[in-house]
Amino acid sequence: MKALSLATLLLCAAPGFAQWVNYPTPGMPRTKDGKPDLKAATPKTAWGTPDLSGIWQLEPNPCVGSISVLEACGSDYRGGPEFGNIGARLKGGLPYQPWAAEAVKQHNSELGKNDPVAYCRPAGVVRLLTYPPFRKFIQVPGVLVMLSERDVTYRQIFLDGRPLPADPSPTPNGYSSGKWEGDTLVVQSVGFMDGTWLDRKGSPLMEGARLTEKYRRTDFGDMEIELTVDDPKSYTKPWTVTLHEVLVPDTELMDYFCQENEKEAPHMVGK
Amino acid sequence: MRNIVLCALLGLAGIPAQAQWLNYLPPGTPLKADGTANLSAPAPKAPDGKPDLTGVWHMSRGLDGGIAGGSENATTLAPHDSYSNNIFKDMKPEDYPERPEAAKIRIARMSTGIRPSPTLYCLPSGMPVNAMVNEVMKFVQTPKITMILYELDGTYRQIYTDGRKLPVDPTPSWLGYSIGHWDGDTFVVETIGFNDRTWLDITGHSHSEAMRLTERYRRLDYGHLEIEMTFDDPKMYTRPFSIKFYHQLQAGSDIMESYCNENERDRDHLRK
Repeated sequence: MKALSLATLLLCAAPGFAQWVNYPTPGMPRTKDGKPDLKAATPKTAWGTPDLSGIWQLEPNPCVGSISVLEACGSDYRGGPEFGNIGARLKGGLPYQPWAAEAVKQHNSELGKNDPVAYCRPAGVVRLLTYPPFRKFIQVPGVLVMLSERDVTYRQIFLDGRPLPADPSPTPNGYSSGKWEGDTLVVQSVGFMDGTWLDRKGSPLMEGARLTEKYRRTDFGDMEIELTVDDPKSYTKPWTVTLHEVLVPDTELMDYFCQENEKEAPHMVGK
Repeated sequence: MRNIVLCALLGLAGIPAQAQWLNYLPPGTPLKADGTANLSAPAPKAPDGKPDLTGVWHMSRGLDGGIAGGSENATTLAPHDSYSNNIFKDMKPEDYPERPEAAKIRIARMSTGIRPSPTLYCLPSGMPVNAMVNEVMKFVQTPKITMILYELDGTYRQIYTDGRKLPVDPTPSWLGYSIGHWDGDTFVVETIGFNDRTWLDITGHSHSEAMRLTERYRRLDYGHLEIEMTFDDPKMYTRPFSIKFYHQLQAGSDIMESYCNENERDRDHLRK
């Protein structure tokens, strides 16, 4: 992983100052001293389902005994373990097909320089959930919109009962349709394009893959996303990981366009 | 009508051909006897009683959806008669409120072979161009926030309606900081905090970081949205000026993923 951190560093270009980043989030339950009560009950929509709306971050690695943020947290771009390796907490790691294992090895030797993100291309469906910059969920009748701070882009999850397309044109975010099962939003997605990376290691996602996500907001400040990837081209069997997202209160998304003043691509190193 | 179909087909040429959910009518769409969307039905209301702007919108050439003047140029991104070609198209050149500082920037931009608009480098087009391109835009309205999702490069704006005030000294950004309120049936959006890098049109009209944009959105009926934009930038222009144009609902359609930077090969071949 050390080899990858250099490339990770190259990607840190988010603006330093911000507006509305201290604006109290409307509707936030608060303790007596005015602090956000992140352990308050899961909020509900006006129409009775749990409400996933809010600004979320993959729970970052703990930074303990820090000599430098870089060493303590693995990056100065503070993220959770699944950002680096989507199978970080998976016993035995990801069940790569031989070619996929070889590809990940190759990416590592190249310091991850062929990451689509390094060329300001879309991060893809899974990294939209794991990237260190925040994402904001806005849930309305019929659709859940995920706004990503990274590159100011979005993903739509339709909640109006539409069936998945039969022969979708491949895209980075795919086509997603979800429905509530009790307190869990179950989302099915298809239509991904070849070459999407699931993490900084370069774990692949190929056309024909099917993604199942189960979103459960366990209280006001916590959300679990159980993610199952069924991609027989890349993996010998389907695998499931659980992402823990934490609510980030009293802040806002900023404009962050990768392509603004991008000068890094010609300086990438790695064989 | 043939022109519209042709225009739509060519305009979408950069998008995958077998698209998804482009023929899915959302539940609740008013229908005509033949089962197609009734675009003349009344504008829908949100649960809070305000008009609901939610929907997929596309700039129409003329209120009836026809192409104004039957422009032979209808298949290009910017017809000659459009504001995206010249934001001052309604004025005589001698009446343009452009200050010399602004003219200097415009002339410099237009004097290079490549005409280096941000779009050329896969950067945001900004306002008002984002609302005038061939790619559609989608409004998602909620009581406290309204989102505009742009198909163009898959980007978005957030318009807050939760009572917050505009920031005092905002860090300049590509799409600015926006708050909205209702003035009767009109959704009024105030935006400040733009950077000075976006162009007002493809002929390079500039603006400064001091620009204040006021947008007024009025849904005339189910299928038509009136958009008025007023630009107030005293550093670059001697007076505020306004443009008005219309969008037509793309019933049963949706935004597709479209990323300028995907397989981008143009830049190396640009004329200097």
